[in-house]
This record gives sequence, C-alpha cells and structure tokens, in this order.
Amino acid sequence: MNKLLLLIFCTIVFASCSKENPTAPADPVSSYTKVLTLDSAGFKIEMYNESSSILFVGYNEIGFKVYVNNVEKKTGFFKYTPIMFHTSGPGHATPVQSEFQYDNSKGMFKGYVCYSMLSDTTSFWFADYNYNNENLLKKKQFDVVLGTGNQMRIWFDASSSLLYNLTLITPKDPVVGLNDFKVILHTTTDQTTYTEVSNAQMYIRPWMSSHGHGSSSNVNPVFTNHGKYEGKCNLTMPGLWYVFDSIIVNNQTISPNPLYLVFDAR
Amino acid sequence: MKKLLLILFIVLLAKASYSQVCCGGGVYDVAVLSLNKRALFNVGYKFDNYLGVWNSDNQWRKLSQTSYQMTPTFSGAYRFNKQLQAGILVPFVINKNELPELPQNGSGIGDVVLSGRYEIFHEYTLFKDKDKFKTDKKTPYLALTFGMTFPTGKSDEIANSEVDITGKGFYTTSLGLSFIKTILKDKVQIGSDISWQHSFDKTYNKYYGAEVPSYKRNQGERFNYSFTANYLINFYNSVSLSLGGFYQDKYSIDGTSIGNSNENAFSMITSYTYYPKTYIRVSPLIKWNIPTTGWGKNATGSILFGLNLVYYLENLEDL
Repeated sequence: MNKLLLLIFCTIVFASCSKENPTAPADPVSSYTKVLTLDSAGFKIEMYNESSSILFVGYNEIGFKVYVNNVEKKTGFFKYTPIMFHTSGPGHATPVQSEFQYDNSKGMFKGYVCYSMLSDTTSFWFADYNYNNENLLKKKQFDVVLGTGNQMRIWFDASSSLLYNLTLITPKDPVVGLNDFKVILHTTTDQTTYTEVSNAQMYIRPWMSSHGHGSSSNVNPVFTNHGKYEGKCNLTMPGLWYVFDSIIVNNQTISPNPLYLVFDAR
Repeated sequence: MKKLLLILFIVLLAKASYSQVCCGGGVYDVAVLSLNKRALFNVGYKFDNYLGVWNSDNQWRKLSQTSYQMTPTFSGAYRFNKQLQAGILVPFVINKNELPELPQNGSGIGDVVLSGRYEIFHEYTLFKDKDKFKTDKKTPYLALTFGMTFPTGKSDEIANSEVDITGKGFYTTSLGLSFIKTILKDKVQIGSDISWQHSFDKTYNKYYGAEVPSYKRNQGERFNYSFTANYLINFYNSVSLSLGGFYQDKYSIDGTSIGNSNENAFSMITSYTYYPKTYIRVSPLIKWNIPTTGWGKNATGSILFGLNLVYYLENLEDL
C-alpha cells in the first residue's frame, strides 16, 4: 500500500515538473502571414498580411519586416506605395497609410492598405518600398484578389470636388447581434495621393430590407485615428442587412443617397 | 312520455358532445362558442421558441442564440344569438433574446384583438318535416369571421430595443370563412379556416425612440389558411391535427413596394383537449415549422407550446 502511495506521489511530482514553460512569449507575428519576400542588393523586405497570405480588394492590415545587409531594422519609418497600371487609360494609386511605424508588439512596421481594384489581365498592381528614404525598391509587381467580406465604396462629391473612399474594416464575418463596425474614410483630388479624413460625422442605420425592419442599440461610428471610425451595428437576425451610412464633413453631407454596406449575418 | 324524455336526452347529449369539438375544436381560435354556450373565459399561455429564419431565397438560417416569446393571454367570447358571437383577446408579451451586450428581456401588453363571427349554417340543426322533428345531417358549419387588431402594444417606433417590442404598431382587419363538417358523427370532423388580413399604414416619426424623417410603412396583404382534422376519442378527450400557413405580399415604404419582401411559412399544429366537465376545457398544443430550406420565406420558424384553460357559461335559452 505504501509503495502504491509513493508511486502516486512521484507521478504527481514529476508531472508538475514539466519542461514546458506556459509563460513563454508568443511569436509576435504569428497572427500575420507572409505574403511576399523581396530581396535586392542587400535590401530585403518581407510583407505580411493579417490572417491571410493573399492581398484582398478592400482593407488589409499589413506589416513589413525590413533587413539591410541581413540586419533587421526596427527604427525609422517605412513607406509603401502601391500603384495600379491599366493596359489602357491612366494608372492610379490607392489609400494606404502614409508611413508605417515599427510596432514592437508585432515585430514589424505596421499599417494598412485599401486596394481599390483587383489584378486581372488588363490591370496590374506594382509597388514602391522605401525604408527611411535610404533604401528603395521600385515597381515590383504583386497580385490582389477579391475576398469575401471586404467592401469599399467610392463616390465623387460634386460640392467639394473630391473623390471619397469608404472602406470597411470590420465586420468581415458578421454575426447575429452587436458587431464592431469599423470603417476608414479617405479623400483624393487626383487619385494619386489620398488623405485620411479625420473630421467626419457618421450616422449608421442597419436595415433588413427583406423583412422591412431595422434595429436598435446601434452606435454611430466616431473618429479614432488614421481616418478610422468605430461604432457598433446590431444585426438582430440572420440574413441580408444593409447598413446605411450618412456622412457629414464640414457641415455638408458628402455621402451619396443611399450609401450602404451589405452584410450577411449568420 | 319516457320515450319523449329519452329522445330529448339523446338529442341533448348529441348536441353537447358535438359542441366539445365544434368551433372550439379548431386549434387556432379557442375564443369561439358553440351553440349551447353563452360565453367563455380563457386563460392561455404560449411559449414560442424561435429556431431560425428563412431568408428571401427560402434558405433556412438557424439562430445560434436562445430567443423566445412567452405570451399569457386572457380572452373571452359572448354569444348574442344563434348567428352572432364576438370575442376579445388581450395578450401579455414576454420576450427573451440572449445576445451579448444587448437588452435580453422585455415585456408588456400586446396588441388587443376583437373578433366576431356570423354563423351562416350550423351542423345537426333540427327541422320540422311533416310534423316531425328531424336532424339536418348534411349541412356543414359555415361562418363568416371578422376581426380587428388594435396597436395597443409597443412597436419598434417607441420600443427601446427588440425585446421591448410587444406589438405591430398598426391596425389590422381580418375577414374570413370558417368551415366544419362532421365525417363520422361524434368521432371525426374536418374543418378549414381561411382569412384575409389587411393592415393599415403606419407613419414613423421615430425609430426605437430616435427621431427619423417621417415615412409610411404598410405591411402587405396577408392570406392565412388552415386545414384541421379532429378526432373525438370519447366524451372527455379529443385530439386534432392542423396544417396551416400564410402568404404575405410585399411591404411598402411611402407607397413603393419593396422587391422580394413577400413572406410565407407553413406550420403544423397538434393538440389534445380534455373536457373534465361540459363547461371546462383544457387544451395543450404544439405548433412547429419545418426548419428546412424551402418551407418558408422571410419568416421566422419556431416551435410553440401552448396551453388553454377555458371556462364556459352554458346557454340556457333556446336558440
């Protein structure tokens, strides 16, 4: 009997002395997936996208790891400049964070890009990669595809002669109930440079068209940073919902009537 | 004299047993009086457990959260004469919807319904033929039904949240026909109810309490149907099975109908009725939809458990 008790005791003691360390730090870039690697003359760039190895039309949370002569850079800034060229007609840029700053928690230069179009046989994405205005890679081609859940609305506001881009950040996979509603608003005059709009007021109204009702408890999006606006939308039952967004800038309604995003709540 | 008393007893017994399932035997409307009843008071309870919803492509979407509505109801009916009776139903609505960060409970008085029926024919009425009383075994029961729903509940115009909604917010009228035919006397009846519901415009100046630009919404015309079979087990017990559903046309906003917003659903109801006394009726029931793609459109699917306790006042006058 004593032997049996000793055996049980030893089992418990050894089991609790596992080598596994539960507090080991997680890989900071584990939630990001590498999209591409560029390497030229000692300047190496790894591009990452949050949750996917593909770049999608719409909002992408991206990051860059930068190496110069095999030394990883963690200071300074990084600039990413995507441009789309068409086989006919002029090319254009797309909304992108102006400067990517190094994020220690992610271990990379972090920011966003909103691709306005997908790559196809007549439209091609190229990008310039710039570290600290010291190292530069120009016109490297990459692909952008259509993804589920990403949405972007582009319209021209005649009163201000500005082109606006509204891009959905979340929800990309909407659920029944209260969803975080995040969008980012840009404006441009020439489709070459885009400016984040930081002084807009937004009023959202979810509507289930097939049933003829809306919902309560919605929170209008308010500005947070980098042209981003955060609120809540309540999709009370499964099915197709339209979330109408009225946008006012400088006391002028700049959104077309109607301006809406579409969600299939599950 | 004994023979006369015996005949009278048989006639009364037949009439009484018939009345147990006739009219009140249908599962949709318990506030209906048979010929030998003057009035009724009913206390009802419904537990409607929402399972999901059909979208506009008839696809079934299951609900992931717990969501239900409990409805205690009080209803009454009064017979004015052989042809005309009227009823009232007052519901109290209790909502539950377990979604995070949102109100989960709400309750209040629902929409009050006034209803009536004009009974054109009754089954098994007596008629005189060559100085003899005979029973008409051919004529079915047929009634013209009508009603009005009053927006006494709280609608989405002024409710604070979805669970706070206890009513539609607009007036609705209904007009229909109710038909019953006994197939096997004191054993089997079949019946059918059809009705057309018309809803009046509702003008919204607010939505969930917040001011909005004024607009008018009109629910589409609605057609309800049901086919019911009753089986009288004995003098005290009966069961029924009912197949029913509805079709509702597209709703409109400011006179413009919204495409693909028409609704329909099909349901089945089974109920059991126990008559411990001729003036008391106890009816539990189950109603369910078939939660599968193709059995509905833009409608909610649920399983409903109900219980009705009815107390009748006998009709002592010769109608």
